[in-house]
This record gives sequence, structure tokens and C-alpha cells, in this order.
Amino acid sequence: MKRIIAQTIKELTQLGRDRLTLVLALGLPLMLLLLFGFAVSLEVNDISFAIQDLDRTPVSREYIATFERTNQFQIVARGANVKIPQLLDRGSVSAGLIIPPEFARDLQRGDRSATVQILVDGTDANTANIVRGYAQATTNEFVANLQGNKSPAVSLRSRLWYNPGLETLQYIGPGAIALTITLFPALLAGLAIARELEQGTILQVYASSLTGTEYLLGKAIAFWLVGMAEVLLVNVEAWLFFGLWFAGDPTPMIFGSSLYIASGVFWGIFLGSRTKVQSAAIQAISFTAFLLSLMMSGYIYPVANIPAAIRWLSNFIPARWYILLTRDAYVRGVGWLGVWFPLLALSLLASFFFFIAWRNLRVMQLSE
Amino acid sequence: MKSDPLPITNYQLPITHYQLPITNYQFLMFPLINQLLDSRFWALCKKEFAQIFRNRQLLIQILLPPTVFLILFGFALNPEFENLRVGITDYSNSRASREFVEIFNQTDAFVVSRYYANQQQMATDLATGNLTVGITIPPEFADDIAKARPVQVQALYDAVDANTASIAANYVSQLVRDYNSRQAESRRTPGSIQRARVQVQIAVLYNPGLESSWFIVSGMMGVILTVIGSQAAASLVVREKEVGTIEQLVMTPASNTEVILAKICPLLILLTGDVLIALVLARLVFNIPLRGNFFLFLGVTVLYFWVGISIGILIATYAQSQQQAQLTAFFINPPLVLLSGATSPITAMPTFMQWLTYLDPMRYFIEVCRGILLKGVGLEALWSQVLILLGFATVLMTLSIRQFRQQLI
Repeated sequence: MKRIIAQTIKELTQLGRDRLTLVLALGLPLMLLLLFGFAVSLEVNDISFAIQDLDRTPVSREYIATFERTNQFQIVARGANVKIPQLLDRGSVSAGLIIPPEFARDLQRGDRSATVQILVDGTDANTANIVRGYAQATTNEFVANLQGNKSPAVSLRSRLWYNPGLETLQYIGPGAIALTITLFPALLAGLAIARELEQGTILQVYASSLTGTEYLLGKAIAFWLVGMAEVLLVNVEAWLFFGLWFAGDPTPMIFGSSLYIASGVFWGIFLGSRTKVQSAAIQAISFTAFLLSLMMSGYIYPVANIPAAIRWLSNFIPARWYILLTRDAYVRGVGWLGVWFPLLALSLLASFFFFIAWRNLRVMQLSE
Repeated sequence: MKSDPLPITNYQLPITHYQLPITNYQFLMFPLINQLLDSRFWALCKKEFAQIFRNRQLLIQILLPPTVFLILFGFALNPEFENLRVGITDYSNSRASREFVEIFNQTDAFVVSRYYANQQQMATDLATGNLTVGITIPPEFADDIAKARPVQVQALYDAVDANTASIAANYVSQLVRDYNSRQAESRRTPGSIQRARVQVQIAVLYNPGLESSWFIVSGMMGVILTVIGSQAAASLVVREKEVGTIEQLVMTPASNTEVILAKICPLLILLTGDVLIALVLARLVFNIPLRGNFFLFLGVTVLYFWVGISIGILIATYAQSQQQAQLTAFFINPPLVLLSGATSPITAMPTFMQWLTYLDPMRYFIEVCRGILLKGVGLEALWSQVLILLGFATVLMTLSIRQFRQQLI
């Protein structure tokens, strides 16, 4: 035990002396959190919209006014001469509406329906999908107003639970916390091991009476402490800048954080001992711990959207489970009952990563 | 079987005739080529090529990630919603209500996952995230429908994921609207007046299948050029610094500009190769069209390449070791990537973030990529972006050469 603590203290002093890395380790997550929280947003508001009105009647103007009233569309061009395809080509609008000349007449004649055309920029499929829905809904509203308020057979009463304002930050924010703290604990631990192997100082460890397990735990505890400090900093920042606060019992998240950081540290140590070179370790860790977490954790789009052929991979990514915990703590607030499974998965992953790191380090001598 | 060799020799005559003007032309070109082959620049270039091809790790680092990135990103970031889980609490339990529930089977977007006896159970499942939508049908549903009285149905959404919830809500209200119009249709008595209707024809341009991968993959081309270009350039320059050979390079009569240009040459070829790999993968795996001019695309890619490289050289002039260079790249690359609109649309960002994106050169490159690949437009629509990129390339290149020079003296 004493020897483990000695290892930890040695590792922390070494880190304290490396100013650049220390600043990066504690400062970079703070910057990344803001970027991840604010720059990734799927909120589709103020859709830039162009309207070519070839009808120019009170009815078509009323139709246009319905679009204005929704506050979701920002009409940047309108009139009879607006060339919507060109505007779309240049990317200055994301959708356009063409009202044909006979619009009002067709609408008032009973036996046929008026037709309008909406052109949507499909470059970004998600935005296009939402714009399409809004345009359809706005048209329906216009028609409903025209018909007078005769109530439909089934009226829908929708309630949006947990996030009634549909604020993206409530969803992205907790995910950003998980992503931000995923990189550095693993990176620092991996670098520390790779450095010892690269510079040959590991030989001194071999020569000492330290066992593999002690060595591993000593290193792991040091970076686990750094990681937990990061967790604290990042959460405080999220309270201040994202306006997040615990919706329920935060203890599952706190417990989960310690498991999450531990699994990151063990994974870093494993990779560091495999690659044996610092620059390769950086590459390997930034790819597996960071990019894979970014893509497969469900931080932007739900995990269920990933094609099944590669979805199984996400089960091995701790961030995928940890995000469920942060979302529960900050948005859902269900507590232990709702998140026992992610916790179980995290502890399994942490033990698995510990095991493979231990297997790599247990032999405390030069291999033949 | 024996063929007659005579006719072939006959045919060779005219060919020798044609070769004459070409040799003439070559004769004119020789001094130029010779000059290039004799120059210091060429010698340095050869050295850099040899060095880079011997460096297995760097080669892997340059050629492997684009493939992996493109495929993973293209498939993993998927906003297409299928099989959103719907829970149903049907207090009415009648033919009418079952008919109503059928609306969820009309699209792939939803799947009815369970029927609940009471709302509390459904609420628990919604709370744990097992359901996206919970529908509650009141006991009086069948009665009301039969008597043509308006009836309320409740829809609860798990809105933790705001985007999914709003898309689901859109779908559900569309389905209910269709149901209502069918009801209205069946109720109408022959004598009643026809009501006003508007048909909306929605045409999705550029990406009619709404393939999300088209957006991500076209954005990833910029990411690859920036991230890999800057990292590779940084590690190449820093390596010379670490090993100490940079002093030897400076001692040679070659100018600093020549030294830098020679360093960049092999990278230019490798990274252009990267982009071509990306284009082929985009075509084969994701079916992304190249609607615009290929050579314009190549030209802008080369232009943007200078931007990525200059960033790398700038990083390298500040870093002392490869490890430091890579860590500094972590500081620079994520903001560049996230603010470029490669993974999520810029229009969705908060206003102050949108202002920041104007400072990100990658933003303009990705606009050009999407313009040429998906929209098939040319310079007439993209000239402003190309001009801005030209500005970025000039400024960054001058800066990095100056920094590099200052450092050596």
C-alpha cells in the first residue's frame, strides 16, 4: 500500500513539473466543454426562407403572413421575381416557397385543391427534415384558419417531459461533459507509461521490488485523481455557463464518474504499454478514447440511429454509458432505479480495462 | 496457326513520321526540365520524398485515418430516425381505438413497443428512456368518435433529446392529421360543401433521399485536410528540430523558402491522394455524387492544403518536441473542426458562435466542397469563398515562413 502511494506521489510531482501538460490537462477541457456545448446544436430556428409569390392576392399574402407568425421562418426575400433555385445554389436560403398564379382562385373553387411548391436545401438532411415538417405544419395551420375553427375528430395534447422548452443544451450539455473528460485522464496515463518505456526508466522499476499490480495501481490512482479534479472543474463550468443543475439525486453520477475516469485511465495505461512510443500513444488514445466516443456515444444523435453493423461497438465505449448517467443527473432525475444498468456496464468495462492493462504490465522484467 | 508479320512492319512507318514534331517540342522543353532537375529545390525534394516514404508511422498516419474517419463518421452520425418506440395506454380498448393506433404502423419511424394497463407504468418506462412517445387514449374514445364529438388523446414525449423529440412530435401530429382528414372524409354527407385544401409539393434539392452521410462526409474532407495536414507538417518540421538536422539544412545554400517548399511537396501529393481516396469512398460507399467540376474541386483542395500545412508549420515553430506539437494541435484542431460546420449546421449555433465561424478557414472550404459535390455549382456561386481561402492561404503561409525564418536565426 505504501509503495502504491509512493508511486502516486512521484507521478503527481512529475506532472506538476511539466507545466505545459498540466495547463493543457486542466485548461483544455474547460475550452472543449464550451465548444462541445455551444457549437454542436441541432436547434433549427430562424430558417432563412424565400417566397416567390406569383399570385399576389390577399389570400396568398395571408398565407405568407402565417409563415411570418410562426417565428421559425426568417423571410429574407419575397416577391414575384425572387429566383429561389439561385438563392439555394448560393446557400443564402435553406428553403423557398413558390405560390403559383392561380393559388387564390384554386383555393376558393371547391372541386380542386391549390398546389404550392416548397424547395428545401437537402445538403443537411436533419435540418431539411425539420424544415419540411415546419412548412407542412404552417400550411396546415393556414388551411385550418381558412376553414374556421371546426375542431377535428382527434386533437392531440402533447407534453414534452424533462425538457419542455426543447432546449438542445439540455441534451448536448450533459453529453459535452462526458466527452470533455474522456480524453485527458487516458492521455496522461498513456503518455506516462509510454514515456517510461520509451526513455527506458522502466528498467529502474523492474530492478526495484515493486510488483506489476502496485505499479499499475500507483500510476492509475495519480491520474484518476487528476481526472476527478477535471470532473469537478468541468461540472462547475457547466453549472455556470450552461445553467445546468441537478434534476435529481446526483450520487449515481458521482459514483459513475469515478468508474468512468478509472476505465479511461486503465485504457490509457493499456494503450501506452502496447504502443511503447509517446507519439503513437497520443494517436491511439485520441482516436479510441476521443473520436470513437464522439461518434458512437450518442452525444449528437441517439445510439439507436447507428446502423446495427457497427452499433455493437458502442457498447464497449464507456462514454456511451456515462452520458446516460449525466443526462439522468441533469435532466431526467430518476436516480438509481433508472441507471443501474449503465452503472453495471461501466463497472464491467472498468474491470475489463484493468484486467488487460494488468496483463500487459504484470511481468516485471525485460521480455526476451 | 501462324500469323503474317509483314503488315505490322508496314504500319509502323507513319508512326515514326508523327514523332518528329514531338521531339522538336521536347527539345525546347529540355533546358527547363534540366534546370529543375539540377536545382537545389529538386535535390531537397528528393530527400524529403525519401524521408517520408521511409517513415512508416507517418505514412500510416496520413493514409489510414481518412478511410476510417470517413466510413465511421458517415455511418455513425446518423439523424435518420427509425423505430422510435411508442408506448400505448388504451383505456378505451375498442375497435375505434385500435384503428387509431394503426397510424403508427404506417411509417418506419415508429414501432409500437408495448401496451400498458395504466399510465403510471408507461410513465416509468418513459422516465428510464425505454420509450420516446407515450400515447394515452381516454375511455370515452370510441363513444366520442362514433358520435363525431371531438376527443383528446394525450402524447407524452421524452424530450431529453430535444432534436429527436421535436422530430417525433412532428411525425405524430402529421399522422393524427391524416387520421382526422380520413375521419372527416368518411363523415361528410353528400350534400355538404367541399372544403378548401392546399397541397404542398415538397421538393428536396441536392439530396433528395435526405442521406445524412452526404452532409457529414462532404464535411469530413475539410477535416481530413486540416487535421492530418497540420499534424503531419508539424511532426515533419519538429523531427528535424528534435534530431538537430535543421541546423544542417540551414547551413546549405538553399534558401528557407526552398527548404519549406521542399518539405511541403511530398505532403501535397500525399494529401491530394487522401482527398482522392475520400472522393472514391464517398462515391462507392455512400453514393455521393460529384455534380460539379472535378478540376475546380482539385484546385480548391490544393489551395486549402496550403492553409492546413501553414497551420502545422506554425505549430511546429512553437513546439520543442513532437509530443508538444501534437498536444498543441489538440488545442487548435477541435475548435477548427467544431466551428467549421462539418458535423452540425452553422445556422443552428448561437449567434456569437456563428460570428466565430467566420474566422475558421475550414468553414469556407467545406462550403465549397458541398457546393461542388452536392449542388454542382461552380465559381459563379463560390467565388467569394475561394477568394477568402486565397487570403487565408497567403497570410498563413507568409506568417509561417517568417516564423520559421526567425526561429533559425
